[in-house]
Amino acid sequence: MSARVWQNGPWDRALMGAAIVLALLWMLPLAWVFALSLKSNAVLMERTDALLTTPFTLRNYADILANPAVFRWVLNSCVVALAQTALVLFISSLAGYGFARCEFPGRRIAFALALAGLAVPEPAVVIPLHRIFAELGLHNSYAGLILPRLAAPFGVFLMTQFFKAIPRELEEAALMDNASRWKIFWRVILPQTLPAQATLGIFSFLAAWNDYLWPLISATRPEMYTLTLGLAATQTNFAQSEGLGFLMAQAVFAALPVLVLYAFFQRHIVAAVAGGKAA
Amino acid sequence: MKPHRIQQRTTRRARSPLRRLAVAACLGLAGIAAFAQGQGGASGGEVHITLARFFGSCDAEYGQVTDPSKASSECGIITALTNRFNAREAGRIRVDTQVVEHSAYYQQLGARIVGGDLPSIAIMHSSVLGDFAKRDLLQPLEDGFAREGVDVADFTPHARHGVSFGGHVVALPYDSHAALWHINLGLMKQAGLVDEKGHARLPASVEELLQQARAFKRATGKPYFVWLTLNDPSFFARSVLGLVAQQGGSLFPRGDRAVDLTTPQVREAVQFMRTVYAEGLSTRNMDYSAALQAFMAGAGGVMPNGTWLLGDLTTRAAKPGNPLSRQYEAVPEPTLFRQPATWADSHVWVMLRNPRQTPQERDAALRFLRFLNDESLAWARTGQLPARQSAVDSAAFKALPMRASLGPVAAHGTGLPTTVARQSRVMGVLGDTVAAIVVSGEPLEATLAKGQQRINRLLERESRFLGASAVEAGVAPTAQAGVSHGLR
Repeated sequence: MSARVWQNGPWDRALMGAAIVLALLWMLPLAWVFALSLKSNAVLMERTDALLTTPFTLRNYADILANPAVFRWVLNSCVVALAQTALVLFISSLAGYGFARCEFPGRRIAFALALAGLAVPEPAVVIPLHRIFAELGLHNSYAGLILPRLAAPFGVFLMTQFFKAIPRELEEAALMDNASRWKIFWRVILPQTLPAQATLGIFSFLAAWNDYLWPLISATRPEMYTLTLGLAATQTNFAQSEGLGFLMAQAVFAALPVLVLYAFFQRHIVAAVAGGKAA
Repeated sequence: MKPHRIQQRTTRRARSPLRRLAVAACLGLAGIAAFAQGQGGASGGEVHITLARFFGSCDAEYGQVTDPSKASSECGIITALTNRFNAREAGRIRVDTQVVEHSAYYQQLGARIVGGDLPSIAIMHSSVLGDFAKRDLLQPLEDGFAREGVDVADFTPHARHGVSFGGHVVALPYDSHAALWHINLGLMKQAGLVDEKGHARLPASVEELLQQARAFKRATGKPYFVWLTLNDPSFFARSVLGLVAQQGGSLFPRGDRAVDLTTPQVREAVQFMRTVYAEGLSTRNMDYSAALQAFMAGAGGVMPNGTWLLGDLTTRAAKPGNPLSRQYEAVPEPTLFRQPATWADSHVWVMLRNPRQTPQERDAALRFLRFLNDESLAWARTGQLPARQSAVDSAAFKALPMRASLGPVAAHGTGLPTTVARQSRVMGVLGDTVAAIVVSGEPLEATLAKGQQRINRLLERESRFLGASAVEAGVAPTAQAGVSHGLR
């Protein structure tokens, strides 16, 4: 927090104070989840409001890690989320560039059709999709987990809009240097879209990491579960009352990779969400 | 050199380490994926069967345990039982468990059926069996049971009724789980509501219950009931179902396609619950977890809840220093009207119709079902009641805490008629309707009529959707007026 902020008038200070209060309020449920994860299930069956009283325990985390399958689920989630993110970025960028810069018959209709995908709710397509993947024998495979999520209308829309905003002069200069379309896309235009790539990458990664419905019905073998699915499967029927500490530890554990990711890429993420370019 | 080319080269140079990193990451990821994808698979010789179930996964704690007596909880005991079977049949049969979260279980199973990716055995509730039986998705099992030595005649009446469709037995009943009264005897003593043996004095009519509840509140300053009034429509639905059945009534007096919530029995049951709540004789604003916490903290005398809590609460009562220490008992819900009846459901094991299943897989699956049937006493330690009458009558079962008095529940258990479609949704709407009247104070007659309309619209849609297939499957409604799961 810069000193300049505090040297400003009372309104600025009030604004900053309100922001801090709101941030603390926002963090309260997270702190509660974390505190509950450090309590034994037996204690939490009696009361859930005594957060800062002893005894604390790491047993819930130990229980999660004691299940050897957890590491496989983490690996699966990493493979699926990273591959999905990379492919969504690649496909959306190509499609966005095509729609923004290339003239071809039916471009407008194709773009409208791509955007129409935004209006289709997932449950409407999940059964046909499941049948197609069953026919192809792709369930319980990485391909089965990754491929259905590569159609990303939002990504295409975002990238199209971003490509449209890039000055044509850049492209024309490259064309005068006899650069091919691919070269122009890959070497000249794509590097200009880093903020949009970062935004789309973050959303894609989070969506893939937190995805539950599709892995639930596509991955039926425990060794192909993703982390969200695997952790949910370990919950007992009345986990909300009999295994609350374990449940909260699972929530923290599942969120950890995302938090680590945020810690590493904080600068890019903030810049991307703010619509600017990371310094 | 043009400025943009200079910029381009600079960018390229600056990005080359990043690019190398990205390429390395891609290659690494592909390698890991290929390795991971190649893991697992069946070993030769053994017949592998898959077991789809909920109850959670607790391999960390019980992954190596083969003695169910050394495990606790539903998850622990079924894991130990599966381990025991695998150890016993090593080299011949292997059961691979596929655990799915409880709330998402049927969603996944439905998708698996559509996609043809079927488990050899799957767990279900008997209340949803009708939806699967009407679609002809379940294998009849009576021949297999006869061959494997599973005695269908030994199933309890509630259990047998729940798995019988169109003249076939389509599942192995595993238990009966029912509503009980979990009682804080310390508070009951304080209110003078215990008999000479120290057991809770149970009411025999609605009037007596209200008198006792008022006396309890005067003596202890606490409500008689700990109720699950928030976000738990099933509590209200199950309560009304039991109270209506106790009056000899039915929610489906004219067959399985139309609910009737305007009968005097339904009105009587709902009015009773409304009186209890309005007079402050029950706790308020509590969901499942809050009600359980409140009961364990001594906030009320009686918590109507399921058999599944027996294990936890008995363990808690055995420990000193809490309000339930040596002050806890569980009893069947008392008969407040003409006849005993209480809501009950069952966990059952089914084998889905699967054209790709080999005779060896089917035989192996049947052998595992036989094993589970034989071990039903081990499962009874969870608090659920055995589905085998011989197990209910056994000395070993009666020796378990509280179980001696719970045997009749297996006989008096009642539910919706087995052929009523979409039972989970029907119970949900019923519960919401009753909660609106009891908790929110909505007008009784109009709200019941609205609830009835919603349920019947739901059933009509379902009936239109699969009316023809029900006839083709030969599934006739088995429940007549006033008769459902129970013995009546």
